[in-house]
Amino acid sequence: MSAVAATQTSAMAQRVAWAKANLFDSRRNTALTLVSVTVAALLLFLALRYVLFQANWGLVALNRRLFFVGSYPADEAMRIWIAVFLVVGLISLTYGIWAGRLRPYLVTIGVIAAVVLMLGLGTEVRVEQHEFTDVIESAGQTTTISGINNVLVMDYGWAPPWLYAFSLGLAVPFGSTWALMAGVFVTLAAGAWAGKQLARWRGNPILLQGIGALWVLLIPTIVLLQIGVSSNSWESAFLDVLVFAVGGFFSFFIGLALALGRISPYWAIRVSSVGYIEVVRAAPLLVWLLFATFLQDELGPIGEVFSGIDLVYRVMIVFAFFGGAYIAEVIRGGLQSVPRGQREAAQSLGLSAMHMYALIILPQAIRAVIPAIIGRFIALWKDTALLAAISLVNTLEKSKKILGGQTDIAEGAFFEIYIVVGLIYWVVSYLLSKIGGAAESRLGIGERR
Amino acid sequence: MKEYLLDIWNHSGSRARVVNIVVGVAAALIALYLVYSIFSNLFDFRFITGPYGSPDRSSIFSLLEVEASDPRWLGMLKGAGNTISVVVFAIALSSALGLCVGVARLANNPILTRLGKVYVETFRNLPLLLIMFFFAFGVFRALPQIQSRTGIDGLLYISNRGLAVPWLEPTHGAWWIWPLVLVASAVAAIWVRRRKESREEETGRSMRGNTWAAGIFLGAAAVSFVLLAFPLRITLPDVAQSASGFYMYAGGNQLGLGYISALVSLTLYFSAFMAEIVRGSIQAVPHGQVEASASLGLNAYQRFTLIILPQALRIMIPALNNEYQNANKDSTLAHVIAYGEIVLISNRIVNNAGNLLQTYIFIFIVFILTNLIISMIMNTINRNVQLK
Repeated sequence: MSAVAATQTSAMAQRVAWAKANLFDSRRNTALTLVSVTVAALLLFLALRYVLFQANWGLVALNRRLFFVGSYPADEAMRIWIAVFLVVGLISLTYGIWAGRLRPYLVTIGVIAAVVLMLGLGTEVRVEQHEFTDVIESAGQTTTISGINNVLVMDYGWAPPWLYAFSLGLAVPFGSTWALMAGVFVTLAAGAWAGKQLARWRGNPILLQGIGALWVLLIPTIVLLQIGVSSNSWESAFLDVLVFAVGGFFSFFIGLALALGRISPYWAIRVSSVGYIEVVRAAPLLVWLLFATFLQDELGPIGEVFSGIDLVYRVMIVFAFFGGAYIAEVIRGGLQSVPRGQREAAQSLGLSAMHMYALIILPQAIRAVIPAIIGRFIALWKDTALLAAISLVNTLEKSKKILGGQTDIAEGAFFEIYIVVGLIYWVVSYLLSKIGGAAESRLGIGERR
Repeated sequence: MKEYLLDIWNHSGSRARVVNIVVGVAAALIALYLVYSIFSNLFDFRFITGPYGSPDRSSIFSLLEVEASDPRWLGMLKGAGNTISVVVFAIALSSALGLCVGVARLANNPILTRLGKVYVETFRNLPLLLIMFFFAFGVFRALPQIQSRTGIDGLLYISNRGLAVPWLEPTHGAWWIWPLVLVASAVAAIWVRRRKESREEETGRSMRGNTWAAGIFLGAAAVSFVLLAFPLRITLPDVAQSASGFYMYAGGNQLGLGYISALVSLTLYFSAFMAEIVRGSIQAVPHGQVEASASLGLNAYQRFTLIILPQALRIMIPALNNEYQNANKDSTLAHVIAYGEIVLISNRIVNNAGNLLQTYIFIFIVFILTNLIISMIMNTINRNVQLK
């Protein structure tokens, strides 16, 4: 008993010593600490007060489906779920094999699962029509106004409103969606666990090739999502992810081709690659997107063929070619970082140019710039928000439509909507940047050996 | 025949010739096709003299407000001016804010460091357009109405129509001479400072170059201001009511919602990136420099301004150059929130006149030129801070 108390006091003393050394070591630092603690406490207080007591998360709960899949036909929703399961399974498997510790990951998944699955149990949200009568007195006259108001009504389940608020309205009530969400969380945990079991073969090329093959399998999944569903009904987060996935995938290969073209021994290829990269990078992406939207027959038959394609596909093409020009510059940096001796050694072994690049130079070059390539992918993901500027209904445009279309219940509730939309964009970019950081430390880039 | 072709392919000299000719001809054909279709459309340039059609009052300078009767080419030039007038302020503000946040992230205080990190991670991972929407369609729409006179009475008003601030107003037609005098005296001050500095290097005596330069600039500014019969005066904003009972701002200048939202969003978004650049460059300065300056007895402020910052600047400037060009290009997003910058003006022209290629080539030229100017300025600064 006393021993426990002693360790507690010593831990306490350690903490006090740490605070003295880091927070209150000088008069200036003490002032800084007091100011920043005040600012942080104020921000935290305002944020918590807003999230827990002021916000109307029923609005988000009502529009949850619109945020993620928009008007994708409800009968075909199973396709999206299959794709989600595949992606989630692959991500968790890859994480389990290559990332470090399992426990913090499982704890995070558990907390999110508890929030999303438990807090929504028993909730129900609906719009009710309430009759109202108002008596207005002005200039000595009384007027009676009556009509029907749309009112958002939220029934809370077992969780009191303030506890439910922690889910930001994203908690799912019991039903088929709940079961599928539960499946997603189980997959996230099980995939990482399975990856951990496979981790001992990490150095084995067969494992690497197997995982790579599984990732490539996602391409037919994207095709599956599109068959028979009009591209007009691709909306919201689903549209953003689709444009990002297709545009990002092709932009990598376009960038690779351009980077190799830049150092080609043939001057014609060099000049055209440099010309392409510089022209594309000169103008903002928005201008290219608007150009692709407005173009009709101005460029002759090419323009006519191009403008005949669905707008979504045109946008994917712009993303691929625009992103390619930037990724080319990143890969060029990687190619320059490969020591000259590697090329000379490959040549002296008698490798052909193709073998030299495929086996010796590109693996080292791309490995060196993986964090930078992920940085470009983050930029590309954030750029999908620009679809809102060209009459495509992505997550951002959907939020505007919700705010403008449900004025009776969404009046003044822009905060709730933008927080959830911002969260959708933020989480993906943040995870991507975490992957970039992990890749950087895992690959030992910047460390000398 | 087949063997002959293989011989050509396997002989490196002739293969190079074949590849160069094939690719070169293909690229030249594509370029020619583009140039041909551009020029077959471009030949008709009459549309740029037509009237622009609808007024656009979102600019912060009355000079750059587009009138309905303006010719289209003038409208596009004013749009370019509006782009520049938001980019310049956004770059200045985001650099200042980024410097503060970047330094805060390196402070000895763990709480301040965390706050800086939260700031950077928040704004770096959100799309710029979302931040713009948030301010333009959310925050600024929800501001109080103009009648409530919210703000500092007589100096600054904020309402759902925008921000009213004190502004400068010309008192007579020849006011523009004064800015020219300012530029001339600045050039003279810089020249004098250079001379004084080189004399200082020769003789070793302090020549007070900075004091001289400041004296010349401020003296010339004050004297010419009086001689030109006070060409500018400050006007303060006020909330006024027209005869029909319509509330509006009088005096000062009204910065519209589009401009303010664009400026605030660009500043917040790019300051997060600049904070990371500042942090990285300061961390890249060898720690021995800090220790050496501490052992020389410099205090924390002197250590930062005299030793660390000049060396960090060398690393910072190429990255900042990149980020400034991005800010310039990303300012086009402001057209979505109805700020009358170049893309908005051009799109209206495309809608009215339908000359897509001509108008878009103008946008291209504007961005190539502005990015070139940013690049030139940053390269000049870069040359001056590099070790000689």
